Amino acid sequence: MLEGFIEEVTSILERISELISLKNIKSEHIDELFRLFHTLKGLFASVGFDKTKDLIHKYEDLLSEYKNKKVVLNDEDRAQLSSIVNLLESIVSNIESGEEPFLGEIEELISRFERRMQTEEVKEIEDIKTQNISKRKTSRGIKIMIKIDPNEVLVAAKMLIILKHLKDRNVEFTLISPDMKSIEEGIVKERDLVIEASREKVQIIKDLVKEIPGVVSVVIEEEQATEQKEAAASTMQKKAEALPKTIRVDSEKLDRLLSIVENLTVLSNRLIAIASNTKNDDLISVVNLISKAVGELREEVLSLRLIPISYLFSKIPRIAYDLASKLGKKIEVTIEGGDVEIDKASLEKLHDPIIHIVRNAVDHGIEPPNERITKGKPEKGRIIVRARRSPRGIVIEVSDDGRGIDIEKIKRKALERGLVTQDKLEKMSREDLFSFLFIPGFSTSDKVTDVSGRGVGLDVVKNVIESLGGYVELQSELGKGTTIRMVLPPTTLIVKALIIRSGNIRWAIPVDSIISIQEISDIEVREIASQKVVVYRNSFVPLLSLSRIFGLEDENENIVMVCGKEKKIALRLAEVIRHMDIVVKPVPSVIRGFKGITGVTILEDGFVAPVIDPEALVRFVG
Amino acid sequence: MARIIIADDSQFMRTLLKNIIAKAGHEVVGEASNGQEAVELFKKLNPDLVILDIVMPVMDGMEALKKIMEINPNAKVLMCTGLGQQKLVIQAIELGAKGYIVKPFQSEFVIKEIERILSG
Repeated sequence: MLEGFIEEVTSILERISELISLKNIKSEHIDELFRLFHTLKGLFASVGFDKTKDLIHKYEDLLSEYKNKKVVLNDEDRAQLSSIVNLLESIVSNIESGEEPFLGEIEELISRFERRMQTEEVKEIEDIKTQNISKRKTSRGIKIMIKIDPNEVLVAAKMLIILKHLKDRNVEFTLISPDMKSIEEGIVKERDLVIEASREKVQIIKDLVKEIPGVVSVVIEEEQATEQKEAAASTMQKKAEALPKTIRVDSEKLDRLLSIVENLTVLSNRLIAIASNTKNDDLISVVNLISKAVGELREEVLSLRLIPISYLFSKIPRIAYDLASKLGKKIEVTIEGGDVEIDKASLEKLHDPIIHIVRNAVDHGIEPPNERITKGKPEKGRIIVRARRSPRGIVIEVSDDGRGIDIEKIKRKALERGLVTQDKLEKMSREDLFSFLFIPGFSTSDKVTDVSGRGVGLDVVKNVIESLGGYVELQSELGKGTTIRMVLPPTTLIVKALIIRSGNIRWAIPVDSIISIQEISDIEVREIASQKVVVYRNSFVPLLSLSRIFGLEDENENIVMVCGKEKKIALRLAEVIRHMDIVVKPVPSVIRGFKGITGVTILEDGFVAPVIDPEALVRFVG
Repeated sequence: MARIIIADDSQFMRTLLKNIIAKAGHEVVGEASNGQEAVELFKKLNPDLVILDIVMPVMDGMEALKKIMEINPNAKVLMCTGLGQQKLVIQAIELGAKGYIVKPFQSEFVIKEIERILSG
C-alpha cells in the first residue's frame, strides 16, 4: 500500500521538477502542475498527512489562480515550487516513521506562502469560497457532488455537458457550485460539480450522470463519508488494474538472467567455431540462426536493466535553481539526452558525482549577475547537462559558461603543495595541469562555502567514474567556462570487434575505431623525439605495440593498424585473427584503472581477451 | 447500429475514429476532410450522429456545426477537440453540440460518449 503511494508521489514529483525547470512555462504546463498538485493533495490526504495536504492545497489554489489569470511563473515561483518538491521528497523518504514528519518546515513554507499571498490580493477567492459555503448551508434539498475525472482536461465543458445531460432529460435541480458564469467562461477551479435536488430525484440523477464518460463518482451529501472509503478502495483497484503493464522484478534476478545469457553467447560462439570446421552447411546455418537468436535474447535482457538517464537528470534543474536562488545567482539549466539509457546500477552510482559537479558549477562556476553583466555576459549563467551515446560509451557532460578555471592558480597551488617542481611545471600541458584538480584535497577555490563543501571534490567524482570503468576529462577556459566530461564504457555491450594477436595475447579492438590495416613494409615509419610514428595521410601518428605497452615482448609484429577518431594511434600487432561480435564485460578489478582497456570479452574457446580503447591509448604517448 | 459521419482533416485521425466506431458496432457512412464536405454529407445522408473536428481547413467545425444545426436543430453532433480548446468546446455546446471527445482518443471514453448521445 505505502509502496504504491511512494511510487506515485515520486513520479509526480519528478514530473513537477521537469515542468518547473522548463525554459518557458506555458499555460498548459500550469494546468498540468495544477492537476499534479491536486493529485498530490489527494494522495497525502489519503495517508492522513493533513499539514502536508494543507500546504499542497495552498499551492493548488495559487496555481489555479495563475491558470485562470494566465499568469506566468516567475523565478520566485520556481524557487518556491522547488522548495516544496524538496520538502515533499524528504517527507516521502521519511514516511516509514508513520508520523507526519517535518511539521516545522511545512509550517514555515505555509507561512512564507501566506506572507507572499498577502501582497498579491488573492483575498477575493477566499471571499467567494466563504460565500459558497454559506450559500450551501442555507439552501435546502439534497446536495449531490459530481466528481470529475482527474484526467479530464476540459473540466468546464464537462460540467456543461453534465448540466445539459440532466436538463435534456427533464430533471429538476439547482446548480450550487461552481456558478454558471464561470462554467460558461471556462474558468472553473474545482473539479467537483455540486447541484441540489429533491430527495426523490437523487437516484435518477445518480444514474443519469454515470452515463457520462469522465465522471468518476457521484457523492450524495450524507454518503460522503462512506464514499471517501470507496474512493480509496477504487484507487487501490485502479492500481491492481494497472498491474499487468509493468512488473517489478528484483534486479538480482535480472543479473542472473544476464549471466545465463552471457554464458549462452559464449557457448554459441564456440558452437559456431566447431560447426564451421564440419563443413556441414545445414548445421552451420542452424548454428548461425541460434547465434542470432541468442544475440537478440541478449539485447532484450540487457535492455531490461536499462533506465533512461532522465531519472537522474530531471532532478538536476531543481537542485541547481534552488542553489542559485540561495546564492543570489541567475541561471538557466538545459538538459539534453535524458532518453539515453543507462544501466540502473551505474545510474545510482552516478547520482552523487553529477549532482556534485552541477552544484560546483552553480557555486564556483557561474558568477553573480552583476559580475556577469560587467563581463559582458548574459545575466543568466548557462548550465548544460548532456548525455549521449558514442562508440566510447556513454558520455555525460556538465558545462557552464562561468568563470572557468585559472590555470595559473593551479600551478601556484601545485607548487605550494610540493606536488611538482617549477621545471616540470613549465613542460606540463593544459590537460596535465587540470589533472591536479582530481587529486584529493586539491582545490583552487579560496573560499570555503557550505554549498560545495571542501574535501569532497573532483577526486571523488573520478573514483566513482573509474570504478565504473570510465574516465573523467575536464576542459576549461578562464572567463569562459568549464566542461566536465564523464565517459562510461558501454556496460556489457555487444560490439563488433576484430580479434588480433600481439605478444601471446589476443585482444579485441572495436571495429568502428579502426581506420586501416597494412603491412609494416608498406608504411613509412619515422622516429621523432624518440617516438616512432607512421605517416598517415600526411600526418604523423604515434606507433605503439600493444605487447610493449603491456610489457610483453614480441619481435615479429609486422602489421600496423591505424585507429582512433579524434586522436589517432597506430598499433603494431602480430596477427589479425578474425572478426566477431563480442560481449564486452566490465574490467575486472585487478586491471581496473588501466586506461586503454575498456573491458574484457570471453572468446569462443573460453580465453579472456582485453578490449582496447585505442583513443585512450594515446595517453601512453609522451 | 447507428449511421455516423466523421469529419477530420487528418486521415489518420479518421482511421482511428473509424476503428473505435466499428468496435462499438456502428457504421461510418461518410467521411469528410473539412466542414464544407461534412455539411454536404449531412444533407445527403441524414446520419444519426456527426463527429466534427473543431479545427479543419475550408470550413472549421464550429461553422459546420452552425450550418448543421440550421438544417436540423435536433441533429446530434459530437465535437472533437485537442487540449486547450475549452472555450470553443463550450461555445459549441451552447450552439447545440451534444458532447465532445478529446484527442488523443481513449476508445472507452469515445464509445461511452457516442452511446450517451445516441441514447439521448
